[in-house]
Amino acid sequence: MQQAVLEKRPLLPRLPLIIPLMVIWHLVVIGASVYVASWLARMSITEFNERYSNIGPAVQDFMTLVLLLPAVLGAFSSVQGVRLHPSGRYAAVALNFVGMVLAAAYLMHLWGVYTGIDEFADGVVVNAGWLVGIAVAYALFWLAGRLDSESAAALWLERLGLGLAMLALMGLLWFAGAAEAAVSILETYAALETWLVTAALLIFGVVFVIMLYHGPTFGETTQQKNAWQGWLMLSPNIIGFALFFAGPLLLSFYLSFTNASVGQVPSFTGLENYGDILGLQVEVLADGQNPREVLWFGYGELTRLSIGDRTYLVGASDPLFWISLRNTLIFCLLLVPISTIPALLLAVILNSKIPGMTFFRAVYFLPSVAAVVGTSLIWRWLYDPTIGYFNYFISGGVDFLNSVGIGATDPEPAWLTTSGLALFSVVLLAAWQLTGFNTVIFLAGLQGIPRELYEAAYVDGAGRVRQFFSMTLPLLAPTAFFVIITTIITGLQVFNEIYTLFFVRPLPEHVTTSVYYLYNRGFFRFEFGYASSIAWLLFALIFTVTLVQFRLSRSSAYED
Amino acid sequence: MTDSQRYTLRTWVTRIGIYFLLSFFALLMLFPFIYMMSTSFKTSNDVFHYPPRVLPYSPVTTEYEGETRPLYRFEVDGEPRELVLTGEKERFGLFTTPELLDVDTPRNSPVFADVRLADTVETAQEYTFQTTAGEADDLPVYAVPVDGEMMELLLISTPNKDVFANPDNPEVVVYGFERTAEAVEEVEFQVENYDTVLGLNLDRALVNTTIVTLGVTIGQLVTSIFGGYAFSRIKFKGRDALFLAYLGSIMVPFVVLIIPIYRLMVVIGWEGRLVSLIVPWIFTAYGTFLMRQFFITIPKEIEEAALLDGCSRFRILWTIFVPLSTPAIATLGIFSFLYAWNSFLWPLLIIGEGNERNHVLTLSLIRLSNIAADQPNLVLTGAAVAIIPPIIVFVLAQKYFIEGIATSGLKG
Amino acid sequence: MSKRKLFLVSVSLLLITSFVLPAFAQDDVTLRWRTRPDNQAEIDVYTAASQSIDEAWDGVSLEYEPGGSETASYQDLLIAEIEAGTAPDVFWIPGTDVARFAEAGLILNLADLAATDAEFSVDDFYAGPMGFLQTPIEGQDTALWGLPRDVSAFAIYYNADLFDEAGLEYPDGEDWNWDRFLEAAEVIDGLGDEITGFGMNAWWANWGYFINAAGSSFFNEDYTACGLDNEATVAGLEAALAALEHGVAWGNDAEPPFLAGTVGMFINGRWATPGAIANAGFNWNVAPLPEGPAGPTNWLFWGAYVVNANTENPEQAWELVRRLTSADIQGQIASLGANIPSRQTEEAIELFLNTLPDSGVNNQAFVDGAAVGVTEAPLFSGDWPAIDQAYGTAINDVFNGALTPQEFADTICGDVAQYFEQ
Repeated sequence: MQQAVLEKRPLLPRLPLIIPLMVIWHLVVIGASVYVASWLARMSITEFNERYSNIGPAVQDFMTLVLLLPAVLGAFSSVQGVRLHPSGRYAAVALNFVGMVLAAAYLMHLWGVYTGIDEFADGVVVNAGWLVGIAVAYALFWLAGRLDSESAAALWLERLGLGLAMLALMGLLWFAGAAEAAVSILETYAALETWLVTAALLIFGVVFVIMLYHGPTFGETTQQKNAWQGWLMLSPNIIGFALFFAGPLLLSFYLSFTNASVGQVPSFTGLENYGDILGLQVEVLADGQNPREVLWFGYGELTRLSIGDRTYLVGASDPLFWISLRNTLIFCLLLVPISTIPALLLAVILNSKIPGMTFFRAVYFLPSVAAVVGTSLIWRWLYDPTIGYFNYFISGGVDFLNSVGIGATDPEPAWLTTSGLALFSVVLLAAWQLTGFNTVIFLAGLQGIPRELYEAAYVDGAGRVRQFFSMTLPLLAPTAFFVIITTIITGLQVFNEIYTLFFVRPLPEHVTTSVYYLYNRGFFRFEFGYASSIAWLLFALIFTVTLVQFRLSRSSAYED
Repeated sequence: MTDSQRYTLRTWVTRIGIYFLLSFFALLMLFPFIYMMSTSFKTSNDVFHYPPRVLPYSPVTTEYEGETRPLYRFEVDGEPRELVLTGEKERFGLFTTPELLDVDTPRNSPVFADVRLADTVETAQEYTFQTTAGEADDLPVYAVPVDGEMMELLLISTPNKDVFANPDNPEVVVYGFERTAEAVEEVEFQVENYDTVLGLNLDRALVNTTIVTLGVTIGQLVTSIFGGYAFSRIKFKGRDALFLAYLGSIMVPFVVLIIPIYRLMVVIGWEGRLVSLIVPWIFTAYGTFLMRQFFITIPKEIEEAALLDGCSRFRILWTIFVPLSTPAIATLGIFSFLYAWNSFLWPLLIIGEGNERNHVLTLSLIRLSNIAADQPNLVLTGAAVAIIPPIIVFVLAQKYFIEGIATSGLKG
Repeated sequence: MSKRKLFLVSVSLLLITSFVLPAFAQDDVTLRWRTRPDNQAEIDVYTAASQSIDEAWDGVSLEYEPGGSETASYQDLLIAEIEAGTAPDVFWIPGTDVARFAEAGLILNLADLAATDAEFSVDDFYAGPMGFLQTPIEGQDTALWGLPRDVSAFAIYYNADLFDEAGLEYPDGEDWNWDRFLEAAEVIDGLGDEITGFGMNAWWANWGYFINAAGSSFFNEDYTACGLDNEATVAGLEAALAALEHGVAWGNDAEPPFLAGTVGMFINGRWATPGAIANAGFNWNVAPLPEGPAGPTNWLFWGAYVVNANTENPEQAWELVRRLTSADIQGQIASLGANIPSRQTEEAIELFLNTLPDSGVNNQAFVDGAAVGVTEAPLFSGDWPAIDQAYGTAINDVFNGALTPQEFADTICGDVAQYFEQ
């Protein structure tokens, strides 16, 4: 079909004016792209690292290639555009759109918009009094909403509210420095760069819009129109995705194979990090033998196993990694039952339609809306062995037992500092925060079970308990799997609670979890390469768990 | 008893049992918050009061010899009296008899007399005895007035007691220990704790957090609505593959990305800036997915009619889809709000605890817990400042929120 | 209803568009400097000190920024910032980190600048810290990594009311030794259920005091290996265990219960004095640490102002370090009561003894403590963070009963051997 259209065209079709203009503009873009790419390619690796904070030579090569992309797109779109081929238009639209967005982003940088947020906050803090105006305005609107919507009073209240809000905002902005902001933006035009970027932004924008509306020239079909509209609407996501997800993901993968670290140019070390993290050594330990004698250099003792009459010594090149992994797994293992079983119980009760259920549901959910940092601080004091409520309640319980003649001694647990108890204390806190969340999900699962099934079971004379175990539970299995898996995934990434609950640094080994360990290596000791490797190992673990969920939910779906 | 009577009775017993259980769990869930609020109104001394109390108390004071001093409750001659702590001390002697003496730890012997040392007379004698281990030890012997008679007793300890006096009649004094005396207290809410805490950089953090949260929430809504619409309503090549990749990205844990995004921020100069808390986080696969799921349920006919009328896609999205999707938008909005308001690890890394100017609440809270480590009342006041706004938002919009979790959570 | 939405949308949009706001430029040489303060009062006094230096110094303007806190890895964030080029010109680091920073090339060797500075004299400062600050790294003949901001020492904070109630004499005097100390802990512990005799925090310096007082040491004499494998370590830990039997459980912050009036004796540094004055609702004072078998001992804690290796104005930065450690500024900071001047001149000591005149705090206890203190040591031939972690883990086991002092002394040096440079 397209072949036929092409054949009918004369050798040099009458081109719309925009096409040659576009070609000229693209030549400029190609020139700029090649220039910048070659500048980056020729930059010495030392300079590159100094300028871009030690990201490494591979990134330099990669960035050079990325910088050549506009040149390729520009050339392609020019050639195809002159032939009036639709692909030429798409390439031009894509190039100019991305160019426009990046130019706009860069222009905002030059204007100081990004860093201006900080100054804006400065201004707001000083002039926060104006915010009262907005609160009052909102109250007026609320009041207007209560009144009859047609009445004059409501109308007046709304107008008054809007006026007041605008006034307050204007006042806030003015005093927060809006005028200075405008002036400082103008001042950035003292630099040629600002002019160039502004011009580029305008040209990119104009070419993009004109090419976009030149659909008929290129014989655009509805499908094709849908396509560009779809991509355009997705473009914020795609650009953000590339910049803040795909790019970092690649970089992280690359870093995990390097020795990137503070003040050091990263060099490719292959699987060395992974070897260092995972390295294990198992030896038979003779009686009374010093473990140092058998361990390889740089290896530390991880644990000892006695099987039969032999003692096996397990050494690791990074014992703390294994310890943190063990802690994390124990944490998950404890968290799952403690946060799901009460949740299931509560969900079953809440599912019976007696009054007040929404209230309880909301109350149970409260802990999961509060910041973990805040709740951890609360719990830190609840756990306090001298003045905390937990030990107060335990003492009360013990006194009660003693008064009724059951001899008991007060354990006076030091929750956060006893090595066996500390991790469990974190589990309790995390379970407290998760239970409400899990309850709501269980409840949704329960509500998905058809009423008729219960009625049928009731006719069959099944008791409540039997009903629960023989009907509810199997039907709830997919939900339960989901809850368990999300709980595990949350548990594997536990960090905030650990950071806030324990104020001893360095953090004791028995509460060091995997993400804390990663933080410790990456941001305490700045071994970015090593920490990236830990992150990828953790990812592998989480991914496996997710995969299991996929499999299980699928197989259970087939059973239905 | 008839069957139906038994049936109602059983129902009622079950119901009461159920409500009891539910209330128990509700109390469990609410207790930490109650503790937080109660502590936030206390003085720092009151927090350390044992046993802990829910209501905030302050000591009642009175003027005594030109100074403000606390009152304590005593029983004087069988009548309750409020006495003032004078700040003076009086040395007492604890005495025992040779028969009562615990030879290994004399100070643990039963006390025979507890008398002002000034009223006793030290004799020149010493009482020598043998410990169970057979070692020789001795104690000084004092002449002590007991019931009007002077007795020779052994001094085992010399506590220094606080002097409490009747503020109206300073001649009436009682000796005791402030620690074990019952203080006169009244309920008083220390509202100024909130003022103090806001002065410790939490005001700045509150503004920053609000700006960041607004930015992230609005940004996420915009990108998700556009993305969700494209994924659900526009058919084009490559869409489904892209959607799969997008879904896959939900599985990648944040920890994998922190190091490279941190490096990226350093390179573009956003390290320590509020913008680093906003821009990287306005693109959300989860939100896009949520909006897509909702848009799919909107009947196609509405849209097709509008398209035939020549409406542009943006117009359709804005005038038809957005108004119809209030529940989904509200759900996503609250999710974004909570996510941005409560985030901690990323601000900790990119802003840092030291950079107070650009603190968000979670950071300021950690810092407060360090600089006010000895004042848990202030720390928990800070926690209240950080926790109350999301709770208000949740209470206002809990219907959308819980339904959103129930539907999206299960399909994720 | 829809108007309310419109209202919310317009408010939000206005807020978003208004992010466009300016920064003001400055023409002077601007120096940024940073310390890690412990509380708001310190932030205020450092800010005031910065302003007074700024006013007296033409052509240079100062920006003081308070650093993070102990849990926030203050030093490590600095490293990241130095690398990213956003670190301040002058900053304070704890003494134990000087070697790490010097060896990584993060801080400037000031020896040459100091040599041309006629007014500067090394002898003005406590010799211990200066010794470490002048340790050259490989390939250097002379070094000066910075000047000490202040020094500090431990003392026993004691609750005088509890001593009174127990009929005990206040801790002081010739025979203030471990016997009396342990007896006092036991007697006070017996006063009531909620009362404990003694408390210390889970920080290396606390158990380190017991080790030092018994005659052992963290390191060997030239700081190139572990020095804990001896009987004195065992004796020290046993005394610490005995004290904790009547004390706040190991690992808990003992400061809140002490301030609540339920702890008889509490080991802490000078930095805790202002907090105690503000929050303790009972009679208290400080006393020297009790004398152990090896005689009186203490720690000499210190931290130094150092200069960012990448600073654009090294001369001004050195000048700032000098001004920040001048007798005048140290006096201002010491007047807050949390620090001891790092100058060992009579004038500085006299000044310190007169701080907090209304509180009746026994300042002499700290001066005496500093005089017998073991200087906190940066390790020029070992990885202190790793050793700190290893020591800390093992000592937790000791205080939680999982490891005996003897086992600790036998194994600890083997465990950390890999962290010392051979």
